[in-house]
Amino acid sequence: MVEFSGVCVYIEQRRGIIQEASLQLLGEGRRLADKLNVNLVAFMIGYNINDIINEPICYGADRVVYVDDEVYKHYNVEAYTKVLVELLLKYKPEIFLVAGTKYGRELAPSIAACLETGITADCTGFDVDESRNLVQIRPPFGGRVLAYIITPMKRPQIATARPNVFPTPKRNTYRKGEVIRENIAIGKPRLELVEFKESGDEELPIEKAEVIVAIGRGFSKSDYHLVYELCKAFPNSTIGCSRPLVDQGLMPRSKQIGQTGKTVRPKLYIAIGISGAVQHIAGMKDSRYVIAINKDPNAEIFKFCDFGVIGDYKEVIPKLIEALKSKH
Amino acid sequence: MLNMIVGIKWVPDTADVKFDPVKGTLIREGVESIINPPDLNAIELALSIKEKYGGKVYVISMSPPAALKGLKMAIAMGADKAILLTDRRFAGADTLATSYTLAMAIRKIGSYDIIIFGEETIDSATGHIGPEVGEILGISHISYIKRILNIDLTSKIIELEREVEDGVEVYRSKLPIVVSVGVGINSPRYPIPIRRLYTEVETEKYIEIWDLNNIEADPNKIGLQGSPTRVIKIVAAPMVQRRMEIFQYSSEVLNLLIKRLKECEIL
Amino acid sequence: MIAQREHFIMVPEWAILVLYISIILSLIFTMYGIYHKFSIYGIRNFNFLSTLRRKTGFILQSELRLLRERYGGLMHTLIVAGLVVLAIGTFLVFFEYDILMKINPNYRILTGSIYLAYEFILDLAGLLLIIGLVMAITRRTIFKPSRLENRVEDIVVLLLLLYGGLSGFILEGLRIAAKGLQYNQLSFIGYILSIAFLNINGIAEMYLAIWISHAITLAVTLPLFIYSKLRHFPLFFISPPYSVYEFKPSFSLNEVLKSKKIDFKVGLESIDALNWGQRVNIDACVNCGRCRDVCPAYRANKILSPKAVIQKLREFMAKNICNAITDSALHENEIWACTTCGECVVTCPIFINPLNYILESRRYLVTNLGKVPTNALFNIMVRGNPYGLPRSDRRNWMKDLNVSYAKEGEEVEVILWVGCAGAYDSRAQKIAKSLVSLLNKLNIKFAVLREEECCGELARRLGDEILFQEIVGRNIEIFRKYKFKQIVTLCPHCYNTFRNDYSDFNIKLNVKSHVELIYDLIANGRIKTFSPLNKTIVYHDPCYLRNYNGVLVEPRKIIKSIPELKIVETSKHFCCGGGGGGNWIESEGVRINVQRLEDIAMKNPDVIATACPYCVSMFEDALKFKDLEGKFEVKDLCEIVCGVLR
Repeated sequence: MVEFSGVCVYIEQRRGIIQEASLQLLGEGRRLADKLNVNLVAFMIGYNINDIINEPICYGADRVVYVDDEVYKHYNVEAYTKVLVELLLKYKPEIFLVAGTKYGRELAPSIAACLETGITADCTGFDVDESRNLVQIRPPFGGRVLAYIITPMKRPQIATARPNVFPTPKRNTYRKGEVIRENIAIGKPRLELVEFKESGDEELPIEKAEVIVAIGRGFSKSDYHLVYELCKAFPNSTIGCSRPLVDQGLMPRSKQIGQTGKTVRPKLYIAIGISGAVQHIAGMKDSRYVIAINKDPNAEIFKFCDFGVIGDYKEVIPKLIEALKSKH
Repeated sequence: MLNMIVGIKWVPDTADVKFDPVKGTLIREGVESIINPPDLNAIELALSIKEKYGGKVYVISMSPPAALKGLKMAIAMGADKAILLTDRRFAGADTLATSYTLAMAIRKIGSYDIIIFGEETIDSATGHIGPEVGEILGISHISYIKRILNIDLTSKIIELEREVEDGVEVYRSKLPIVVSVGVGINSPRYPIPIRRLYTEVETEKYIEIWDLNNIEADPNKIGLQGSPTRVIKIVAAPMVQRRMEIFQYSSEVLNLLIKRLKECEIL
Repeated sequence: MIAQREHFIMVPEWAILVLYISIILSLIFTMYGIYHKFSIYGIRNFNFLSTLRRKTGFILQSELRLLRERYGGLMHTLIVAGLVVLAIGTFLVFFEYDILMKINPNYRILTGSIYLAYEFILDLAGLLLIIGLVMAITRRTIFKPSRLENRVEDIVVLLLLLYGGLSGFILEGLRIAAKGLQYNQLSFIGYILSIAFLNINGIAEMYLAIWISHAITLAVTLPLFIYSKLRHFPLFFISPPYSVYEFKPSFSLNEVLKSKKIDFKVGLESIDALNWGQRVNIDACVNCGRCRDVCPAYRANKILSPKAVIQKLREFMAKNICNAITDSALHENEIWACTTCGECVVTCPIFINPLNYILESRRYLVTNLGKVPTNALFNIMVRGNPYGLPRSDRRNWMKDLNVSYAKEGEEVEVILWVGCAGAYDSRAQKIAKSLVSLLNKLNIKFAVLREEECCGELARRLGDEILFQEIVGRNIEIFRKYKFKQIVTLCPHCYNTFRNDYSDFNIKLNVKSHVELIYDLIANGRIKTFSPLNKTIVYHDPCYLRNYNGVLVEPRKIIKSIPELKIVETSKHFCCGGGGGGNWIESEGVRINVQRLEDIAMKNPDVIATACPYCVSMFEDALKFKDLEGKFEVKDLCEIVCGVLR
């Protein structure tokens, strides 16, 4: 176990863009590395990624180890697992952190099983104990409790964390570090990517949105443009609705949030003209921050919001859009 | 003929589980258990593959004996056979030990083309089992799939689709493969009541109970000793108390709202 | 000369022979028809006398149902009265001539004043018959109500009977004209006609010709009482009386689990599953369509017609088609469109129960094939409530209320069963709170059951008989743990299922709906006065109180005892659309609840009162749908009572 040293973070890149979630883990990794008094290493995999291999250094890594080959152009769990396992066996970090994106949540356990080591998913916090074990803190049981987990006897200690749990560290252009290229060849994976269809400008599916502007029965059809404008003020946003609008045929069922519709957990949920029936709340109660706009001061929704504005949305929304534009 | 194995978990209905702050443990007494909801979608996927391509659907669960209820439900939905993997020695397993045990049981079943899991459980929500079982068995694995596009029975090649944050991937692989599915990719069918009754009355015909002796597994890799991770303590999570700052509309109120959004790092 | 019945005057021997031969042929034909019907029905163990005994009360009930439509009811009464009297009259003639007088030519009953009365009554009967038949023919040809189809047999039957009646009178007239009989003024119609016939030539020949045609008409009509829709008359007397909740399960879950044997079939797969009582029941349908006109699903979307359901089953039975009914005769959307309101059952004048066959079809679809139209049943199975909400949230409605749990061993007067709606639905929770407030104000000792979960009603109505019996078993065990005088329910569905479904399972529950509780409290003086409420109110009967349990007087009496509260009634009761899965199944097209709201809106009330959480929810949804929220107050009776309680 003594031969394992250092904190390592897997930096996920997609088509040349580093995922912010990985940088957030890098920031956390830096903190842990400092606490343990060890180096912070970043692993990267891709094709023609020269432009970005230095980035992790700017965000706190001491060393970047990367693999660059056409075979690794697009993510493939089988290929990337083999590469990372090899890198981990060579560099032997004691801690390996992976961002809990869709790819990360599949890649990390795959690696853990290969190395027969421990892994903890969706951590919301980390710490180091007296024995230099990584204390992995996560919320099982739907978030009712926090579990503190350690991997005492196996290395590396692998953990994932979801996007936006940790803050994005500040970038320092002048920071220096080491960049190492490894050449790892793997056979043709059994699991082949046939096609990747980027979703681009298509409608963001509601479960993936970071900001949801939801409208209810109290919202008039002629005011829909207000909601579209409001959405534009936030990136990764989309429109949702409560059930009555779907029943009346005004909105598609894919937009329905609630018990019989979708469950969402965006960063921000803005409920406009929604009364707050328990069936609707069930679908959005895990939103990080909830704003309610309703002209009925007794609307149930106000019991489930962080910030409530009692007023006519026709007045409130245009002013809100203005305020958002000016603050930006 | 496709042999499908669906792994299901019998979990406490997490919405009912409360935390005892004095003992520092979860109160599971009196809490009913259910089939982990995405596992129902997994069963439904297996059944719809069976309907389209022919084959057999086995359901397996590593759980205490109470899980028989869930296995009966799976049979009633249309699964052909179920295996309850239960043994004191399996207890205390983390995801790696659980995946190892399941993988050994699957190996014992012998023939498998498609192994399907729910993408995560409502209690631990790790999403580990699919990839870990895949690696331990040494076969392809892919999580969060959306739908099966095609299965060529002669060349034993499967084509499937899955959604990621920024697009849709189409994969092709030779069978066998482990896939995991989420809630919402299909509508699990209702367990046929009369079939449920048959599973009560002729249980042995549909369900086998296996313990460690039925599978060939390294005892050091199962249960507590096979678990590299340990839970050292559990504390109550801070409640999501909504702040409920409610105001009559005015422009100052909007300024305050913007301030709050910045504080929460949403802006 | 004494007045007496003249037999076979102006009729030669050969014609009498024709009569007897026709009658014998007719009887043979009829007998064969009866035999054939019996083989289709498969009657075994039939106790005629006990069935007959039950029937006498039903005759009055049937007549009342017929008279709900004034025109049709009057018309039918006239026809039946006429026919029955004429039939008895004819039988008396046969009895006197072919039996009494064969023993001794002087044994006569139709003599003297008896005969005179007889003649008058028969003429009156004939007149009523003809008036009724003319009313019927006019209705079919001129008024043409949409529910009446004019099939060949409908017209033929009416015309035959009309001819029989008219020819009878003509014969009488001719006879009186020919023989100039004394005492014949009492045969008043015949008498009037005879005046017209007095100076016609060839009366005897006319008489004979019409007499033979009359005889043949009689001979042809008799078998029609088996072969045509007229069969409803004899079938009325042998069909078992079906009530609204006539769903005896075909198995007992406990027995099955004990014996480990599954040797029964569930539900209506094909006509093979129908027992003889159901077959008689179905065969008696005359296609009148009254059931269709009271069906809320038909009124909304014309998908489901109870009449069509029966007629299709009848057709399958007659042609012995043994295909699966749900594939061919009944479509799934018909089966799921039914709200189980029972209106068709309480309307049918011949006590046919279309609801039974729809529910049995549901049992077949769900229990055997698992084809459910909603997730609500799965939610009940897994979480004990149709909403699928967590079990631990079930007590949330009790927060901040003065409500305690029943304790084992301690007797409590009332167990309050709030039901899943009262526990989980935010609107219904307010009703529960009102009821609790009422009980507390009146110092009634009540408790709720800690273990309360779904009563299972939806499982039975949607057709999962196995889930239903599992739930019943669970709930019976819970009830047996506690000592209580009665159960009071908030929801008529819970009420009905405890009262009428659970009684199949070795338990007799003393259960009262919250309406009856309030009524009793007023009746025995525990509630003395109410504050006045100056509003107009329409009370919408929940189907499960009104049709299933006959509770319609009590709620109205409650309303009438509130000073200044004016009650108006809608012209007809229609279901709100919530029952039978209506609250849980996505519906297409016109909504039943919106239509019912429109009925009520026509009376322009201030308040729509009801006594069922589904009805409340349906009306509030309808108001939202039509953008009329707040136009009417929608309140449960106990909320109103609580508001005016002093």
